[in-house]
Amino acid sequence: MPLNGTLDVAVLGTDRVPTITDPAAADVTLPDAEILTLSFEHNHAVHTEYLPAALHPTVPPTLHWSFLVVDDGELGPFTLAQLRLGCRAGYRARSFLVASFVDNEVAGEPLRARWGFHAAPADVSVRRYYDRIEARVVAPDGTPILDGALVDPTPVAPSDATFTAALHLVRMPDAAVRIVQVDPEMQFRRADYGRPVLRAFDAGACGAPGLEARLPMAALAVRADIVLPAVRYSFAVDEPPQRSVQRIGAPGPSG
Amino acid sequence: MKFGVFVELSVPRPWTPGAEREVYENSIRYLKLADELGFDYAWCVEHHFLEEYSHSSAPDLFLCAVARETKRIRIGHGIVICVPQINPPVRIAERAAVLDILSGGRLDVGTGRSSTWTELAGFGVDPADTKKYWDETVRALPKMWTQERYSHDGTAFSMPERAVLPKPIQDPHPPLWVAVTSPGTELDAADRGLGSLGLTFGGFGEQEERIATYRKRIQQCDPVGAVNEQVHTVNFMHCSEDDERGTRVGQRLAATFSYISSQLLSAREATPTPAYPSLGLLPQLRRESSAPGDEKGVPEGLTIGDPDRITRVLQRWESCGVDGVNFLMNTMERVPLEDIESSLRLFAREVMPRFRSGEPAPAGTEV
Repeated sequence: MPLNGTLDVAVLGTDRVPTITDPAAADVTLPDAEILTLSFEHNHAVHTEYLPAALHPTVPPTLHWSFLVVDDGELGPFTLAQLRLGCRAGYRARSFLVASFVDNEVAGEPLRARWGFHAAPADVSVRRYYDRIEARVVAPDGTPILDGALVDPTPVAPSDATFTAALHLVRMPDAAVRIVQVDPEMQFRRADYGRPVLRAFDAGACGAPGLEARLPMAALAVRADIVLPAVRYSFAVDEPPQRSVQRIGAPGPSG
Repeated sequence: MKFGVFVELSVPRPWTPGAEREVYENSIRYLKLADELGFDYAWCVEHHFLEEYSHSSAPDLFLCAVARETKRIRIGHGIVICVPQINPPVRIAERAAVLDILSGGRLDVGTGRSSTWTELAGFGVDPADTKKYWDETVRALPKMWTQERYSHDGTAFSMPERAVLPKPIQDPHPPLWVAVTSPGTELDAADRGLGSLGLTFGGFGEQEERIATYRKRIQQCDPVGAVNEQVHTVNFMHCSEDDERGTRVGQRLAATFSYISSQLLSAREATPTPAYPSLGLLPQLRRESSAPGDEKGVPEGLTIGDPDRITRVLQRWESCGVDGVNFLMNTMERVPLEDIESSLRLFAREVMPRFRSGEPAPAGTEV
């Protein structure tokens, strides 16, 4: 059967496992937001290393840098950068959040408390030019963490855009380390497809030393009205999701 | 109604020495039995880099062995990936012709373009280009087989005038099929005069409508070669005297196939392109095989259980206009070889004759 992740969650520090303190929060609307995703195959040497045992790596292993630019909404303006790894939770295509950075702590606090983003402080920017969309993450000390771009954007039908739900490794209010699903609902307004480019990627700063972007896959930029739903389900880090899924707020497995 | 068996040559981990050989040998063994029992087709897929799911990267070689071990069953070479970076069109024509010769004119060729990023990117193929590559290739193959010399100046490939050799035995050429997964591809099949080789089984109502459209449309086709008006579908099959057992084994087979196939990275998941309007075969088969079913939880249309149940399901398919069904008997070695063999024997003895009135019973169907 498929390979499983080998990540030892017990040794991860609090910076790698955000604590959800307010999981029952209501849905949040993010109107007319922009999402830029740069996707690459990554090196096979670490294809299981950064995934919990509950998850299977994709074949081939993939990584995705995703930027969410929000100008307005309940959380205020912010730009969030996420590093995710492609995976499967049982039958389902998902991406596992390895690291995330935000440029506005006012938004960072609820992003951590409600959805389990790391939301580490950084200078996160997305800039649109005629022939490319540039994205950068720079650490507070000025060290570049990510410098990439979508090159040669070409409009595509919004219906051609696909996104997989994200899985976040979090500490629940009862201190248990579990995986929660964050699955934004999106109403696409426009989509552009292009070639992904990475000029700089400090995997160590993302808690994933040895992770290397290899074959470029795709770059996608969309504008969409987004609803970030309240976290509703969690599952164990070391069991098949279908066996351990729990509805948040409910006492036992829900099948 | 025709019945076939298709093999994926899936090899579960751990990949111990000899594991792949055992899968290959077991598959040849039950395809040989299928031949003796009167099954009509032995299909073998083509896949590359799909760990565990399918280690069948040289199906023409595998099928050559099958052809030499069998006497009557037709040899289904498909789905051949009609993308020049993976299979240059001339090589498809050449290999198919050799297989037709060595099988004594028993070859059918199924065409397609792959639905996984894993395979396409592995050969440097942009998923957005595969449909035009397939179209160009499928129009070229009959000409390569039937013309003394062939030349081409196209998008997918170009070549100066050459004699593509050898020529197939079948006149004018082996029947051509196209893999149908996404709704609408059956129209591509009909427009070109190709057989529709459905790789999902769908619900009865949906299939009936699609088949009716295919039948109507193929009457006005601009054929790429000899018209092959046939609609075949694929199904999981396990036949047992004990309905509970047949259902249980069949559902385990379907669930395992669905699980392992859901691990693959589809072209649509990897890159946004209108060339892949659906996620392809794999997620769709998973949905279908796990759909709400009858009182026993068996999804509509699944050919598992005892002979009576399987007969009823096949009669429904036949009434929808399906000409043939190709069965997946195993995946990840979940079904022991002896169970596959007994399932094939029981099917041949109890089910097949109900669809073959007037035909003599094939040898070897007695217990």
